[in-house]
Amino acid sequence: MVTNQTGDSDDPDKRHLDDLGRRIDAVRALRPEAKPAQPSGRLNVVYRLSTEFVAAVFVGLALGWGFDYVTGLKPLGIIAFSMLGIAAAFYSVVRAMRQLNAEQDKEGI
Amino acid sequence: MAAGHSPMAQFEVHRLIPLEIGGVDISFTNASLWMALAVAAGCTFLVASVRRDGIIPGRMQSVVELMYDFIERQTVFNVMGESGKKFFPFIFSLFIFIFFTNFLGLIPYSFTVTSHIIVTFAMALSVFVLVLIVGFWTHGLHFFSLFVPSGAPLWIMPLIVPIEIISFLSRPISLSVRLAANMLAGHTMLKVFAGFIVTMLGAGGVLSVLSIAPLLAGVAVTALEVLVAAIQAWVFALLTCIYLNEAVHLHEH
Repeated sequence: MVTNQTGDSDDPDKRHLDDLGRRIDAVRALRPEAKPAQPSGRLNVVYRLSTEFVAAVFVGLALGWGFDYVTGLKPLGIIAFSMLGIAAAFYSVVRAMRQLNAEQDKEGI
Repeated sequence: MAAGHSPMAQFEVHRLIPLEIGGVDISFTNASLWMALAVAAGCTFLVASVRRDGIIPGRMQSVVELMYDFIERQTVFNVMGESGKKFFPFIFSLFIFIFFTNFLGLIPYSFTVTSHIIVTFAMALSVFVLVLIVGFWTHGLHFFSLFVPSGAPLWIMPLIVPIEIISFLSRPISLSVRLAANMLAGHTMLKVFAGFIVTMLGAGGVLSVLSIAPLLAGVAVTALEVLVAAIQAWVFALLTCIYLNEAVHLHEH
């Protein structure tokens, strides 16, 4: 009798299935694992970077306004924090770009 | 009829069942209806398709398995590795919900829940709060080192730390604006093109013949919107993974 680790070698369905599994494994071994293409089109990248930018500027402005509201130093907070916000915007965009590049490298595109 | 219809009318929220508890308006609106329908459709689709759980999957089961695999392996595992396992249910639920609200929104006369920034912002905020909880849970106060980039000279810290904090705070906003703006822009564009068809047909003469142009554009935009609906659901899930990954692993890569 054929020894089978999973037992149940008498069951024809089971044997059939094991055979199928072996054949699938054999085919898989022949080629590198196919990865589905990730949908990262140009438009998508544009959307991602622009929202990243706008959001950071917006948060900078909001923080500046809040700072002014609390401390009463009316224009100073908005000026300082909006500059920081713009800096953060560029920073976020650069980081997002880096992430996108890393993703593409991983995909091997 | 068509002349009085603004392209933005499709985004109006109406009360279907007016409800008020303690002075708070909690009416069941068309937005609530389409959210409930999205949840129902998502659950039905997932459960019904794998109900017979064949070893050799049928057509519907294959679709569900592909979606599951796409999020589990290609997205969560790809970004977070083993540590992503415990977040997978959350991310997959988020993905399915956005996916179905986006797609139900493409049906004519339906309502696109995700075109409303308050809905997407609520989801983005829950992701943000989860990132904070996970970050402080796994690293304690050391989580604050997320705002201190490694390898930067000390004198630049007073500048870079606020920038990092602003960039961190801007995440829920960019996450929610991206999804809502995409949906809003796409559906407005569809409605505008559809409006052109009607107006040009009504004008008669050469314009009626030319009305084929906005019709073709409308078909193209519809196809694009199908793509956008799927991509934006995935982008939301992917960015959630990236943010959670940073909270779990801080700076190590």
